Amino acid sequence: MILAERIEELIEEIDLDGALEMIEIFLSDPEFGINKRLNSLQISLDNKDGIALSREAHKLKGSASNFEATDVVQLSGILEQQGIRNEFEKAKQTFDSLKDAVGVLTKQLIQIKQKY
Amino acid sequence: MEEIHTTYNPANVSIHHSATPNSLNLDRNLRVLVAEDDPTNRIVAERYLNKMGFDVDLVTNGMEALNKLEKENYDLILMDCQMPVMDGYQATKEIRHREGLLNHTPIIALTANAVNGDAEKCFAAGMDAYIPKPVKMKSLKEVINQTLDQLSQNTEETENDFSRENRGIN
Repeated sequence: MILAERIEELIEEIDLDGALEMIEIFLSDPEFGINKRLNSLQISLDNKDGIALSREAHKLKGSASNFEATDVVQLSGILEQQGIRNEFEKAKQTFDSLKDAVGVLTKQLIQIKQKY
Repeated sequence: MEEIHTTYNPANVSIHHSATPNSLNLDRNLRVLVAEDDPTNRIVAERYLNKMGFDVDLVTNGMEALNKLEKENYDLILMDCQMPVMDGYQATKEIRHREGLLNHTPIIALTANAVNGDAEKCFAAGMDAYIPKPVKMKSLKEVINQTLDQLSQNTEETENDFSRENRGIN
């Protein structure tokens, strides 16, 4: 399912305000927004803290799954497992790919938000 | 339509519901406690449950869920597995410990994990069912109804066993 279809589904199943609130939280919330999540992942990587890396990746996976953002969900899942196994070199590469995928998702969500 | 009449704790209310997901027929709205730390997931859960006719309270971790349960009764709990302060597994174990053998509030896990062994981990903690994220309206309805139906059957069997024991029937 592409993102726009998923947002339509959310609007239908929840309502427009709820769907837009979810997008707003994902994009901008100081505690649960994407910038905070990426920052926490970066800190976990810098500190070579596998537990924190796994936990933060898991949170991003759960949050992005609401939008069925496949790339972000998959890469977060890989990062989560790499955190569990303390595979920090691989995790750095995954994190770079994840940031790219998040960039794409963020642009799409901003466009969708502007549409409504 | 066949109705199932069940009484169970801690809410101790008479629940009448059919076996079909879309036709809950209740004396009152069921009360659901949702423990979930992510606000986007809370929005999804709350709105879906409200649309299904449930009254919903929200907390953000397992400890808050325990505190809430000390003051209020709920018919169902949706429990995120990974939360800060106290995770869903630990909270569920504590809830089951506090309930003892006679009470059983159904707990449905919300999990972003989809790997083997996660379901077993939920069940080992005392959860009754689990829903993988993203939570969808259809799957949420189905799992809730299956869980309540199962609870109804278990309660009926327990009540029948108890009745037979009291009458001295083996």
